[in-house]
Amino acid sequence: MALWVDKHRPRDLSKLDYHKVQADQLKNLCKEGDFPHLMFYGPSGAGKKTRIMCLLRELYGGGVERLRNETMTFTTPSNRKVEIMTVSSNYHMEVNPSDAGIYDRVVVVDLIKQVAQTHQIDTAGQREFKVIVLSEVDELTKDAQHALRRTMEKYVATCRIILSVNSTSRVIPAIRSRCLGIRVAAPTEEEIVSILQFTCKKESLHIPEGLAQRIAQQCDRNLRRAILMLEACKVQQYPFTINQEITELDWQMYLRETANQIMLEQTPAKLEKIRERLYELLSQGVPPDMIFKGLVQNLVLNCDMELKAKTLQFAASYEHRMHNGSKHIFHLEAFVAQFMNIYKKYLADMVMDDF
Amino acid sequence: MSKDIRSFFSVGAKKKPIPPAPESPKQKRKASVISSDEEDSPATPKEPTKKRKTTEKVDKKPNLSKLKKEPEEGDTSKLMEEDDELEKSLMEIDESTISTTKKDKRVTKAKTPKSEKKPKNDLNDSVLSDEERFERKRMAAMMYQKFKNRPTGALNPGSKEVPKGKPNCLAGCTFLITGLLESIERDEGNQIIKDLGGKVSTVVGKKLNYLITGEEAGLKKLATAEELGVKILNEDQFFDLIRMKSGEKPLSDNNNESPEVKVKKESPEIKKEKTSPKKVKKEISMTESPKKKIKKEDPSPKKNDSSKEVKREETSPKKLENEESLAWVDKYKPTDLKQIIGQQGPASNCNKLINWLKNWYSNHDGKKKLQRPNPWAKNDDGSFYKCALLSGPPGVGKTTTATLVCKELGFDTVEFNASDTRSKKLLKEQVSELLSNKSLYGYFHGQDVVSKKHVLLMDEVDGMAGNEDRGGIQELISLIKDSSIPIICMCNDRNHQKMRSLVNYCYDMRFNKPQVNQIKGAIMSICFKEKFKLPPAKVEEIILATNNDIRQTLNHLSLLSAGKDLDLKTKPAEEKTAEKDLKLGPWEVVRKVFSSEDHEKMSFYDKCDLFFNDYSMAPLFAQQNYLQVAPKAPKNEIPERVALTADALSLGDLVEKRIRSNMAWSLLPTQAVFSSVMPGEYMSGRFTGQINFPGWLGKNSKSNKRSRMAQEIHDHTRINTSGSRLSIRMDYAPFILNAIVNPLKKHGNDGIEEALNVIKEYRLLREDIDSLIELTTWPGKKNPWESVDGKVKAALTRAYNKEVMAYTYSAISGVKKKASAAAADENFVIDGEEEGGVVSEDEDDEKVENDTLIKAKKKTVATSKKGSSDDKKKAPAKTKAGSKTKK
Repeated sequence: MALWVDKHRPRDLSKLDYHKVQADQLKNLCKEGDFPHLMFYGPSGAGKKTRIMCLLRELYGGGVERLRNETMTFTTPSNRKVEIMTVSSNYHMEVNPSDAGIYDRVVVVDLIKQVAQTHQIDTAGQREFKVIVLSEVDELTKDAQHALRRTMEKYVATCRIILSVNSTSRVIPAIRSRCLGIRVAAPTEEEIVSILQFTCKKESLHIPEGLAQRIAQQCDRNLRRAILMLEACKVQQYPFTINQEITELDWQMYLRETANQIMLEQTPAKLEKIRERLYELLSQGVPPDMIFKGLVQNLVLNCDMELKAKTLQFAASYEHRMHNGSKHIFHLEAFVAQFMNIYKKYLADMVMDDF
Repeated sequence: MSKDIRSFFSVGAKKKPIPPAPESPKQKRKASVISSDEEDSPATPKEPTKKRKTTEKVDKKPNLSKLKKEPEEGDTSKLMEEDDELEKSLMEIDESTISTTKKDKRVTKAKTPKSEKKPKNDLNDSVLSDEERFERKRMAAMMYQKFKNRPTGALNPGSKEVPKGKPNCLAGCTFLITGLLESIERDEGNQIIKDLGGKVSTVVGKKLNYLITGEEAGLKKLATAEELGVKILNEDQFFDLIRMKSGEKPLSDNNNESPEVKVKKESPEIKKEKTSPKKVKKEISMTESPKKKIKKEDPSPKKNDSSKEVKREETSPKKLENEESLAWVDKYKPTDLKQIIGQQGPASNCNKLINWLKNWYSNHDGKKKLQRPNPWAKNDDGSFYKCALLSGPPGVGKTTTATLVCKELGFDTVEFNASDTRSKKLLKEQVSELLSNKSLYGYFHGQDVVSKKHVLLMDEVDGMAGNEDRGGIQELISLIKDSSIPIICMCNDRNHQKMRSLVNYCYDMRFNKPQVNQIKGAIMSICFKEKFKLPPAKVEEIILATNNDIRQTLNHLSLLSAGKDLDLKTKPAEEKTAEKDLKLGPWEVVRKVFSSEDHEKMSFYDKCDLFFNDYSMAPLFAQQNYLQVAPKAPKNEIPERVALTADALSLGDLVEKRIRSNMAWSLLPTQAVFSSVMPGEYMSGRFTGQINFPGWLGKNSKSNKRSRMAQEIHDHTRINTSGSRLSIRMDYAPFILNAIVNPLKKHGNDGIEEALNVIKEYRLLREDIDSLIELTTWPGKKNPWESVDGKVKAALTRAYNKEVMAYTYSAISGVKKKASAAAADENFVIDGEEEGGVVSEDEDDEKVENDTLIKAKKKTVATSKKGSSDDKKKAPAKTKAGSKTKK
C-alpha cells in the first residue's frame, strides 16, 4: 500500500492536473517521433519527474513502467570503484550521477557511452533511441557538466538525454543551450486545493474546503508535501474538520524554534546552544541555504526596516561565503553572531528611546 | 769552521769550561756538541771567512809547538807540516767516529792534511784545478765510508739520568735529533720527546724549534739550523730543558746563559701553556687521546725504569682529562641497572627484560611448547617470544636499559642501529651468520670462557625503511622466527605502520616517560657533582620544556653550565630557546590563543606560530572554544567582539577552502591570521569553561553517515517515488515511517500485514527502517518506533524475513560474502505491482524464474537477519507457499 502521493500520481500526459497546455505540447513532441535533449526545470514537488515518466510512457508505451534496479560499477582513473544505483526499463535508464560525489564525471561519461553505443536491436521497438534521465544535474560538478556537453552531442543519434534540474542557474550555459528547456512551475495554491480535493474523492473521503486551503498554504507550493500532509491528517483524524491540526515537518519546527531562541537571548552562551541546534539541522540533512532562509524569515518578523535590511545583507554575504567555504557551520554561526550583535544594539537603542 | 767548533767546546754543557786545546780525543767525544750564543755569526757567508778563522784558531792555541810558524801561515806549504790539532779541528767528526785504533787514525790523518788544505786554497783563490777536484771527490768518498762505518747506538748508554718531565711539558715544541747522543739512542730520544708532548721532525725547517746534536752530527743539518736560527742543544741541554719545563731545577744551573732561559723569554706562548696547564691538558687530551691509547697498548721497550714510571703517571691524569671533556650525557650515563631513571620496581620494563632474557634459553631450548599469550593478558612474561620490542619516546633510556641488562646478565651484544645498512640482503648475509657464532670476547679477556650467550640488539628499527633497508623488517621477522639467540629491538613509535608486522613477533615492552620528579632528583645530583647551582624550579622547567626527555634535559643543562659565567641576563633567552622547539598540544594552543596574559609576552609572529602547531586542528579548536572565553572588554562590547570573531573564523574557512582545493599552501599564514590571531585578539581574556574538543568532527561524520543512509533509502524507494534524495529526507521519510509504525501501534500484531505492505511497496530492507528512524529523530521528540511493543517488532521482523522478496541490493547491503553470487542475477525483473497495469505475456515466465531465485536468495537474507534458527529452517518452505499464493 503506497502512500497517496505515489498511488495517485498521474501516469498519462492527458491526466495531468495542471500545466495542461504544456502537456499537450509534450504530446505533440512525441507525435513527431523524435525530440531533442530535454531539460525539465522547476522547484521540488512541482511534478518534473511525473511529467518525465508520462512523456516516456507516451513514447514507449507501458513497457517503461516495468522498472528494475541495477547497480552499475564504474572505475575511476585512480582505480577506485564507484557503485551507482540505477533504475531502468528496457527503454530508458534513470541515474543520479551526483551520488558518486566527486567522481560524477566518470559516471556521466562512462554511463552514457555504455548506453549510447549499443543500438536498439529490437526494431519492433517504437523508437530508435534510448532515453537517459539524469536527475539533480545542478548538483553535478563543473567537470562532469563539461564532460556531459560533449557526450550529449556525440551520441545524439542513439540516445536522448532528459535532465531534471531544480535551478538552471547552476547548470552551465553550454548544457542549457543544448537542451530544450521545459519549465515546470510549482502549482498555485488553487491548483493544489483542487488536487487535494480530487485525491480525497478518489479515496472516497470528504475534505472541507478550508482544510485543503490551509494545507495548500503550509506546503510551500510543494505538491508532494501537500499530499503527504493530507494523508497524515487523515491518519490523525477522520472525518476532517476545518481547524484540525496539520502536522508540520520536524525540521521546519526545529528551525523556527531556533530562530525564536535567537530572538529571546543574545549572549555567547546562547550562541553556543544555537550552534548545537544548527549542527543538528545540518546533520539531519537540511540544506544550509534553507537554514539561512528559514532563519531570516523568522528573524525579520520583529525587526524594523533598517534592521531587516542589515539582517538580509548579513544573510546574503554569509550565505555567499558559505558556498565558497567548506564548513557550513562557521558561516551560519557568524551570521547568528552578527544578528545577535545588531539586534542587541537595536534593543538597547529602543530602551534608550523610551527614556 | 774549526773555530766555531772550538768555541762550542768552551761553551759546552760540561760544568767546567774545558780549555779547548789540550783536550784528549776522549774528552772531546763526551762533549757532545754545539750551539748557543756564538752561533749568530755563522749566518754570514762562510767561505770568505774561512781563512780568517783558521788563523784565529791558530792564535788561540798558544801552547802548540807550531805557534812560531804563524807569521808564515799565508804559505800553504807551511800548513802542510801540520799539527794534530788542526787536523782534528777540521775533521772533527771523522775523528770522533773513529774510535777504533789510534794508529788507523793516524794513517787517515796523514792522508787528510793534503786534501784539506787544498780546498782552503781554492776558496781563497776561487779557482779549482783538476787535481783539486779529484782530491775533493776522494775526500767525499772517504767521508762517506766513515759514515757507513760509524757505530750505532748510544756511546755510553744509561750514563746520564733521563729527567721524568711533566706530561706534555714539551707541547708545542719540535725537535730533531742528529748524530749520536751519549746516553740514549736516537729512537729513545724521539720516544721521550713524543711522550712529553713534543713533535719530532725529520727535516730542519722553519718550524723546528730545537736541534739536538750528538757526536758526528750531520754537517748539513747543523748549517741549515744555524742559518734558520734554530736552537741547537746537546744532550745535557736537552735534559735540562725538560727539567726546566716541568718545573724542576736544571742540573746545569750554573750556566746562566743556558738556552732554556732564552727559550722562556722567546716563547711566551709556551710559558702561558705552562701557567694554565689545565686548559692545555684539556685541549691535548681531546686531540691526542687516540694517540695515547696506541701508546698504552704497545709500550716501546725502554731501558730506564724511570721513563716507565713517567708513563704510568701520565696515564692516570689522562683518564681524568677524558672525563672532563665528555658530554654530560655520556659522563653520567648509567653504568648500573640501579641508576636507570624510572626503571626501578618489580614491574618495570627493566625487570621484565631481565626475566625474559634470563629465561630465554630455558624457554627456547626446543623442549617446551609455548602458547601464544592473549594480547590482553596482563602478567605475560613474554616467554613465548624470541624477540623483545622496547618502544617509547626518545631519551627515556631504552638503549641504556637494553645494554645494561645484557651486561648484567653477562650477554655479549651485537648491535645494529640506524647507521648500519639493514637491508634484507645484508641482514641475511651478515646477521644470520652472527647468530650462530660464538663470542670470543670472554676468551680474550682472561675469563677463558667461550660464550654462546649473546644478544642481537636492533636499535631504531622504525628507521628501517627506504631504499637502503628495503625488506629489512621482513628479514628481521624471519630471523626472529628461527633465531637461536635473543633479539632485542627498539623503536620509538610502536604503532607505526612499518612496525605493524613486527609487533606480532615481539614481547611488547613500552617505555613511558619518567615522572618529572624522578628526573629532577637525578638531575639535581648531577648538578651537585658538577658544582653547578640551579634552582629546583628551573630544573623542573627545563624538564617540562624537554617533555621529560632525560637526554635532552642533560644537554640543556650542560649548555647552561657552559654559560654559567655569563651574565644572568642572557639566561632567559637561552631557556626560551630550550622551550621553543616543543610542539604544543591543541588544547594548550587554544588556551594560549585566547589568554590575555600570554599575549603580553607574545609577538605577532609568536601568535601565528601557535596556529602552526597543528594547522588543521587549530581553526576547529578556536571555533569550538571562543565562546568559552570571557574577553577583557566592557560588557556591552562583548556581542560585537563575538560577532567579529565569528566573522574572522568564517573568513578563515574561506581561506582554508582555497588552500585545500587549489593546493595553495602559501596561504597558510593568511589563514593563521584569520583563524587564530584575530579571534585571539578580539576575545583576548581568560577561559571561563572547559576547553572542548571540536564538535565539528563528530557532527560532520554524523551528517555524512545520515546522508549515506538517506541515499540508500532513496536508492531503494526510487522505483515508486519521485523526487530527489533531498525530498526523500525532508518530506517522505517521516511519512513513510508513520505509515509503517502507525498500524503496528494501533493494531499490534494485526497491523503487521499493513506495515509489511508498505515496506514491500517501497522495497525497503529491514535495516532501512532503522535508518528511517534515525533520520526522523530530533532532540526532544519521541521516537515513534519505541512505542511499538517489542513482540510486535520481532513479529514484524520474522514476517519480513518470510515474505519479502530479495532485492538486488539486499545482497549488497546484507551479507557481503555472498554478494558475488547474488550480483550474478542483477537483471531479474520485479514488477511494480501497482503500476504494472499492463502485464505482458512473458511475465509469468519471469515469475517462475524469480521463484527459484527467491529461494536461493532467501537463505542469504535469512542468515543475515536476527531471526531464530527455527525461522531460518522454515523460511524457504513458507516462501515457496507464499509466492505461489501470490500468483
